[in-house]
Amino acid sequence: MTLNYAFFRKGVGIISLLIIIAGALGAVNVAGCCTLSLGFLRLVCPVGFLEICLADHRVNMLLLPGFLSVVLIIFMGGRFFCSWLCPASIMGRQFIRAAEKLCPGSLCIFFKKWTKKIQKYMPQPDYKDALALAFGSFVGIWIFRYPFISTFCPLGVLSRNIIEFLTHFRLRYDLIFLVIPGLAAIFWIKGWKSVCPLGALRGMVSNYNHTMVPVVDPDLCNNCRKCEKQCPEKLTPYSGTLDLKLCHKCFKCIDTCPCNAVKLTIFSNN
Amino acid sequence: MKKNIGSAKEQKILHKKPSISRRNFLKYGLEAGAMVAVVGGLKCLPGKKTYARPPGALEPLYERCIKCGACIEACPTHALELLDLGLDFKNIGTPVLNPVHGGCIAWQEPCLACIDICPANALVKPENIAAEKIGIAAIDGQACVNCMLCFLKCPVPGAVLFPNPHGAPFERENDIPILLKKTNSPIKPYINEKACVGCGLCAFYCPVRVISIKGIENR
Repeated sequence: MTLNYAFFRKGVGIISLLIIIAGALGAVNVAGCCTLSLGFLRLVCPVGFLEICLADHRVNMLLLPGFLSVVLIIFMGGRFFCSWLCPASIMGRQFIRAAEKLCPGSLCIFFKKWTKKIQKYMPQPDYKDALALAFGSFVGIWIFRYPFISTFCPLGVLSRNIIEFLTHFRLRYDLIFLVIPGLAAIFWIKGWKSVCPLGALRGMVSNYNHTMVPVVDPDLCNNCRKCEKQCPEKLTPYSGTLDLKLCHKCFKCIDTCPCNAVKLTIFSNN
Repeated sequence: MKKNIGSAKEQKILHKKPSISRRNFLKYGLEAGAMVAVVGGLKCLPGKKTYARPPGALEPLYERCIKCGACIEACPTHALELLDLGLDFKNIGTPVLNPVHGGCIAWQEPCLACIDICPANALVKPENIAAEKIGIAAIDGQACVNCMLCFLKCPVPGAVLFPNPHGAPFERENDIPILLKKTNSPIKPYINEKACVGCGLCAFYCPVRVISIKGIENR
């Protein structure tokens, strides 16, 4: 087994799942992907915090320090959550891999062909569309006064199901909400990531992020564009500019570069 | 002539720029408007119900709860569950007391673990736990077998009563004459709605499952 970023990503995913299970069993002060209590500081899902503040028409002072520290973490690290911790992306990858193994080959090819055809004719939402959807739902939450996004957020649905399964040994019917990211993967090339409101809001902060960025050394680069093919957001690190509001910090470009031209820099000024 | 055509083309291009941004603006506005409509439409679904909430829940709970499930993890009796998918969309994922899993022991011993752990302050410590009320129990008298377990398990004195043919109803199980509490006796215990706190312990221990817990309005 090679020690690359993909290996570390897998390890972080498994460790965070184990922490969530330990929290559900009452060993750690963790509630799914939603809150992590460290004494006075309560690190909270930023969208959950915004939702209850908008629904309640009042800022929740108890959660404010935790929310601000989460914003600071996003500012320092960018959108690393999307590729390192988000169970939606991890589960999506594993699901596709399992489906490819289990399905007979002809069906798999047929399915791939059709999804490509559908994706060709569907309008592809971009970052601004995701922001518009997120702000529209926030206005709706402000007017109608109830948290809306957290009801069907794949992270929330999964963590609620883990908690319920480990306490009452049964699954919830709201697992059906996980169909939404699955359908998004059929219709849109970037899948759920292109409309995820959490990702869009994180992008707003990580736009000003300058630390831990993959930067291409132009002397070593041979313009093979393998980094662009591997990138889940189809960014172009070889061109010298990187859209940091979209970069997931998955470091797949560093793993795949054949001439080791992409390097992780602590501080970059682009 | 050619120059004029060229200038007309240039003018067209110049005029196009704002029209594209206007179109995009309209698109984003429509998307945002559609989300507002979806949020509003899902709130108006006909699924209005009342729920037995954990003690100390502020009214209405769904405005403050972040649906993290910390109270479910903390509850020592596993009495709480997160509300499952249903027509009452705004309450999905908020904690409710389900007496199938257990009952709330806050009136028996100093517990309130759910209030201590709630990260969002949606559950607030009540000044006097004895005055707190989370629901009302109801006994279906027809199927009751007079086992008296509800009398033994109820933490509140005078919440479960037994009709007395000669005077005030019995409050304690020991006072009831054995002849009255036979299994097939037509006289069955009933709930005093003023005293009952809705902890769900009677419903959890009931061997024939004839006790149900009703919620309180707006919770």
